[in-house]
Amino acid sequence: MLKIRDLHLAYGAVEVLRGIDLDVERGETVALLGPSGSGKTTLLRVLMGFEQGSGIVELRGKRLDGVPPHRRGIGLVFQNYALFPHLDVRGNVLFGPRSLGWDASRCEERLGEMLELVGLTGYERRRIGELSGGQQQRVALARALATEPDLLLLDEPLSNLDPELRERTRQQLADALRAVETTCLLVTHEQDEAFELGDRVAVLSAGRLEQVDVPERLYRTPATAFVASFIGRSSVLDAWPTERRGGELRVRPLRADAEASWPVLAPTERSGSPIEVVGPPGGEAPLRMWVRPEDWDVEVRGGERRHDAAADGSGGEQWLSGTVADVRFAGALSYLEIVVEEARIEVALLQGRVDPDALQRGCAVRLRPRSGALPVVFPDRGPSG
Amino acid sequence: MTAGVASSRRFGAVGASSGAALVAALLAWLVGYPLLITLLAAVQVDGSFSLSAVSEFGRRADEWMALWRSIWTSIASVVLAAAVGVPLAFLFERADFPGRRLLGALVALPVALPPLVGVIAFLFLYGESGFVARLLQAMGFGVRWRLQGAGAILLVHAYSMYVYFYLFTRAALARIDGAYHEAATALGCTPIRRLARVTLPLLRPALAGAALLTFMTALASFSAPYIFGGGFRVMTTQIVASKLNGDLALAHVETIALAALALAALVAMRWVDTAAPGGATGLRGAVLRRRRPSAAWRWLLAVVCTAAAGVLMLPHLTLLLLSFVPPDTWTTQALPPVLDLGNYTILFAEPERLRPLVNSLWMAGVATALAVALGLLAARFSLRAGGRLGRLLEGLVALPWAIPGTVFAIALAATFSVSRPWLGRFLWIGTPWILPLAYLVRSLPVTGRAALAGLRQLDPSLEEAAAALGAPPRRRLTAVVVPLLRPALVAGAALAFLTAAGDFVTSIVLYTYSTRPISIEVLSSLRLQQIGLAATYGVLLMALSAAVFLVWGRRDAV
Repeated sequence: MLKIRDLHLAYGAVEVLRGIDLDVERGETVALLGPSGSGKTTLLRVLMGFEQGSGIVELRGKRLDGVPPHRRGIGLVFQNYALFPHLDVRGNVLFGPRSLGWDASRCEERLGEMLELVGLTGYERRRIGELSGGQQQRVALARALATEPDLLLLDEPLSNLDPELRERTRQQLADALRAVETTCLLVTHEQDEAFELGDRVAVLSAGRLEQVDVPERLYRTPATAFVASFIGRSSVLDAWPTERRGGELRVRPLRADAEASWPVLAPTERSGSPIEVVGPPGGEAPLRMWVRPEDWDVEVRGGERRHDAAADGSGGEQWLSGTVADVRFAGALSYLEIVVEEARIEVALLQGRVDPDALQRGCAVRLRPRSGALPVVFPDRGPSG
Repeated sequence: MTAGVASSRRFGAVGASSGAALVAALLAWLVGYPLLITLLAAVQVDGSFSLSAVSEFGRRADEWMALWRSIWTSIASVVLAAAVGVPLAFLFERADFPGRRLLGALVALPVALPPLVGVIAFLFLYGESGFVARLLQAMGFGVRWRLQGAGAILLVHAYSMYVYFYLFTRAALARIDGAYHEAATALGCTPIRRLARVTLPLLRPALAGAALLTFMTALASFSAPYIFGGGFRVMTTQIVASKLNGDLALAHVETIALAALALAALVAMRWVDTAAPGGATGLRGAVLRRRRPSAAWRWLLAVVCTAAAGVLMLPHLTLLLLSFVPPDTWTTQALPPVLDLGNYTILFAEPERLRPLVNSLWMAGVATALAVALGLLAARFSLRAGGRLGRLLEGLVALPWAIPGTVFAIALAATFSVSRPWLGRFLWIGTPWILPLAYLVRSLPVTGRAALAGLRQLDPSLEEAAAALGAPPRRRLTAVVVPLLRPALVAGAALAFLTAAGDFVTSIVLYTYSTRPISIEVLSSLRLQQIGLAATYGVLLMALSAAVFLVWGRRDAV
């Protein structure tokens, strides 16, 4: 449906978009996720024709170069909604159809459909100023969908709502988008929003797409160090590659001469750039390792469940020793902050799996990655060198 | 990696620079070109370069005298207007007493009155055979005076220009965060010290703005010096006198001198920092409560303020009363013996009497419509093109505000008195089109600024939203931009229309008998001693002002 190839845009010397490639399939919703200033909104504005970039943008197989905004057949929901304050709900929703010269009966029919879709039937004559923030958001959606656009762009559609309302409106938005089966590109800086609304999520950083994937894969197998850090929470540790055994990379955590050696998911398995197993220890760590808080096994040292190192099958002590620096209760989970040498490691434990008396501040523990959960590693100097 | 990174072109900027250049060219022809022609005419005799008129200007003592009088009367006008307007503003903004709101609005009334109307109202009230003189004589006082010279001019200026100080100061006082006031008090400031160290410094931008506006208005003032000046010539009256004497070359030099003086004053005043101090805290603190004096004080204040408002309203009331005095009925009596609607009947029944009214209305109407359209275009292109071109457009639109009306009248007369179409000069003097053109130029700052302010407040995403909904540029303008700008445009148009309908300063230079506007008819009625008729025209202009005030009031209410 939408095809973007090598899209660039610069304001003077500042490159805002640096070679974007993206495909959005018919009926699919892609969430564009990135920190502020990453170029998300700019990308929408280029698609809309408000800014001119270089590169290829095709909608339904047709190049959009030089097509003015009003002839692109793209709908846009603005971050601030940009509802026309001098028109009522009806005037706003019908602005598009009237601009396209639809006849009166078709307009009325569409108005009814759209207001029903967003649950605002009966609000035709309301002035915009009389609506709540959530209602305005829904009018903005109805207005953007009224012309049956080939592609709908949503720019931070929920960011102007307070948190409680945002939750509810997000659900309604998800339902509405599913109901109309429109192809959508949605900009957000909220992970939850991207994961819930996007069939796929495109992570944007400094004008580049880092990874485009379904949410689970973004979380489990991030393609770059940026994605690994940006999506979810992780503890980041120095790592030294030790050996490759049957396609599996192992690394020593924290120190080059550490006894432990853990299996990890190396970027080689995805990108093909091999990581050299370096022999001599010392110097800067060549790799960094990302471990999710829920991916740790923790035991109280000197406790009753002393681990048998030999049973591990790796022929060495696989545990790191540390001290609990902090315990935070957070409902379903408890977060431990464990200090191991210089590193601070965050561990999340499901409630009920923790003995509140055993794990307390100052308590000595040992920990290692849960078996089956492979931490990701990337070279220390950025994802692509 | 890629062949070339496109530099961004913002939405709306496409094609804006060519449109902006076109509008800039049109404005330059309307606003800048006549001034250039005048400058060239000032250094030419019979088509060749000559500085004879310039050197004559330099030699003549009366020219230097007029220049000096223009400067000092303008400065004195600022001082007097501030002395009246600032205390009134404090009184009405800070004290609470019965009738405060109504009286506060009445006090601002002179702002919308065409200058000539104010001048003749003063003449009828305080003139040598005016109301006050007749009453004093009837009471047996043998005092006689002539309302003439610098004193009379300054009196009228103070009366008509204190409103700038009054309105600016009131608005600024209302904006001052009460928290500053409370903080100063909490820090042990005495009221006097608080005024000197807190309130007045915060008022400085407003006072500077009012002072600039008053100075420029006084410098450009023509009606008061023309009616009351007698032998006391200032630059504006000097120019018109030279022109009427047929000394065109000298008139052009004087015109350039006055324009230079106005621009120099503007630049000098820009030196005085008019920016708001410190940008405040962004937090809106306490709203200052109006002081509520004891009951006795409040009633005393009410009486004093009513009396003050009454004195300020007297000229208007005089005009209204005189409009009911039929011709040749009031001779030596203290009060007019007969009052009826005779003047109004004459005015609407006799085509020759009605004509100036019709002339003024259609010419002001045409000029206003064009000024709104051109002001909107200039503002839109100025914001879209941005950069140097945008600033040029903004400057061209604002220029007529800084240049006295007399200067533009002379400049337009100089430019459009010959037919050289390939040089952009047409023979429009003596045709009905020269006055609307002059009104248009003079109205541009009002309509242009209104449009610019409105557009600046307009959320740019609204137009983008319209584009995203499939609206082509024309529909974006008519269905989104213009409706949203309507309050600003209506306000600008109302003020422009009022100014044009009451114009005297450019009309007296450019009118022809068949296109004579109201102001010229007022003047000839005065000459023919038809006081009642002159007053009636004045009342009609006042009614127009009141209507405009209503429009403004409604705009504030929205």
